[in-house]
Amino acid sequence: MTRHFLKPPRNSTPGRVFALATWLLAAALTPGICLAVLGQDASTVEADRVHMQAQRSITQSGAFSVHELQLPGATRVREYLDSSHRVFAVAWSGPSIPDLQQLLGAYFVRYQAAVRPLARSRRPLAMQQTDLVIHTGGHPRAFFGVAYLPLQLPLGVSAEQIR
Amino acid sequence: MTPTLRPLYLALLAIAVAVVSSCGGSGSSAVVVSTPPPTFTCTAPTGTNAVTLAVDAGPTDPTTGMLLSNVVNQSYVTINVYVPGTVAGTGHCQTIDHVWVDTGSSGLRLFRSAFTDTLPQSQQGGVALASCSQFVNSYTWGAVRSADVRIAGELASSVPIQVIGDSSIPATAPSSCTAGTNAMNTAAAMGANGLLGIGLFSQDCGLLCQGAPTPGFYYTCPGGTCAPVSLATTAQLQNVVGLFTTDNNGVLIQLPALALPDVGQATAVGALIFGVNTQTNNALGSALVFGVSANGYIDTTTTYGDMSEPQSYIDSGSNGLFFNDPAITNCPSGNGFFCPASTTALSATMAGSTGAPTFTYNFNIANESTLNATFTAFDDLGGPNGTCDNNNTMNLCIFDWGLPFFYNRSVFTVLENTTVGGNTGPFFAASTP
Repeated sequence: MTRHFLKPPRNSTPGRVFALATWLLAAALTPGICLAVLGQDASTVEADRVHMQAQRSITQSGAFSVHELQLPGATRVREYLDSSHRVFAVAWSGPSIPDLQQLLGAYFVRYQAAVRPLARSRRPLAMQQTDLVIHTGGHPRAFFGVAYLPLQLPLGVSAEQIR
Repeated sequence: MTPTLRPLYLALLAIAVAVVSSCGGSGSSAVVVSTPPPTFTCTAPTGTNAVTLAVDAGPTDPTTGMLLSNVVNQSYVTINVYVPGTVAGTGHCQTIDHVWVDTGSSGLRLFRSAFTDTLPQSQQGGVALASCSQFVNSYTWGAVRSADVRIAGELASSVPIQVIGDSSIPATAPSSCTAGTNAMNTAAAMGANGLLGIGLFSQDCGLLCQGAPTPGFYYTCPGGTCAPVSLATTAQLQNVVGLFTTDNNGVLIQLPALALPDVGQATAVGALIFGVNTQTNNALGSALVFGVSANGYIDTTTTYGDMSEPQSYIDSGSNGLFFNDPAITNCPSGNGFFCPASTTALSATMAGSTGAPTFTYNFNIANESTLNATFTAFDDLGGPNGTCDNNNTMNLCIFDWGLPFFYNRSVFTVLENTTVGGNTGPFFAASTP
């Protein structure tokens, strides 16, 4: 990928306006884009790439494809897509924690509910539910995480392949 | 990096380097010193390289005297913070108690509300420099200011620190900093009046942030809109130990054995000792040395049962032993601790830097929900971490040797770019079982 979007983060009003404009532009260029990823279709990977100012590469691995986003500053995000181009897992590793609200989309509220009791300490998250598994770990300079939808793993794909 | 982007990054880097170097010297135009208010007193320095390290119930509200939060296994020291250059005088100084000691990060983070003096502000591009610190499920956000920091008899001058709750930057951190995790931007949320990161590295970020704007570290917010900026290592949050004039190659933490193992204690009192092999009280001796790589993980694996766990580390800022064992019941409250039916005896093996010798460390894991709620020191707290299964050793095979490991042991954390007893830092070392 050679296109790059440089935009301010989405925390302030001018930033939001700029982000919205950027997103609308991306949406116009990419049919079917939506602002969520885990559980969504392939076009949302592009929304993530834009949001995180990342570079993207794609590898095919049997029953699924891996869209890897290289963020500024060495953190990598990997999104796992099944044969119908739906994201069934995301994983990340590196010195920066990626924006999980962006990556987890509709599942973010469940991450938040699980992580709130861990406030005031630096405990990792090990969330294991029937339809959603999230693990976060590591320490400053080297964080890890995986989030996946166990009921939507493609046939023959095991959770161990998500890394 | 693609060729199309390189000129832009180089330009940003050049600007950053120019701005940073203009901030470097004392009295340069980029450093804004406000007139400090009248004199403040500090507790006198003890003149040694050791300070009391206490595991207790944490800070209290200065107004009500009530405990701010409900903490366990957090170890604290008291530090003195001065307006730079005032240590020798009557002192624009403030004593800050209950600063949490963290060998898992680098950099001093304090709350604006904790001191009255205004400290010189770091700027870039004519606006305040902001600092973000990400932890596994939380973050802090503050301005970068500089202070002289004295702990026991040790002094570090003009240390860039993070000041949380500083009105010179936007109150809300950008999404690339928060990442959707918990805010730790109050003393109550942190369970401490500050965080003293005295880990393996000299800065919080290092060369990565000097080379390129990196999300989750440094920002400027012109017009209220924050974007990552690159920053020279010397202007980043510093590990104060590396800036001490003596005893500056690392730290030794000694906490006593708990009188009644597995029951816990109301408090535990030990020592944070600066320097390794620099005085009679910080000799490395026969401690086993664990070399670490650039990401802060021990080079050799921790072996737990049949699990080989290459992502292992020793961290005073983790309040339990965190590792993967699906056979141990997690607490139903979802608080991140284990709640086995009864206290469970376990062990894990660590190997020295060359793969030998190996030592097996025995530990117990108690049911967190049955522990005495008024106690704060426990050697048997643990919780789940990762999804290690040996097929996926790339990512989530983690053994986090948190504060329970430190009781009844000498634990050394030695800085990068140092050599101690023939061992090259960074490394951890621990007395054998």
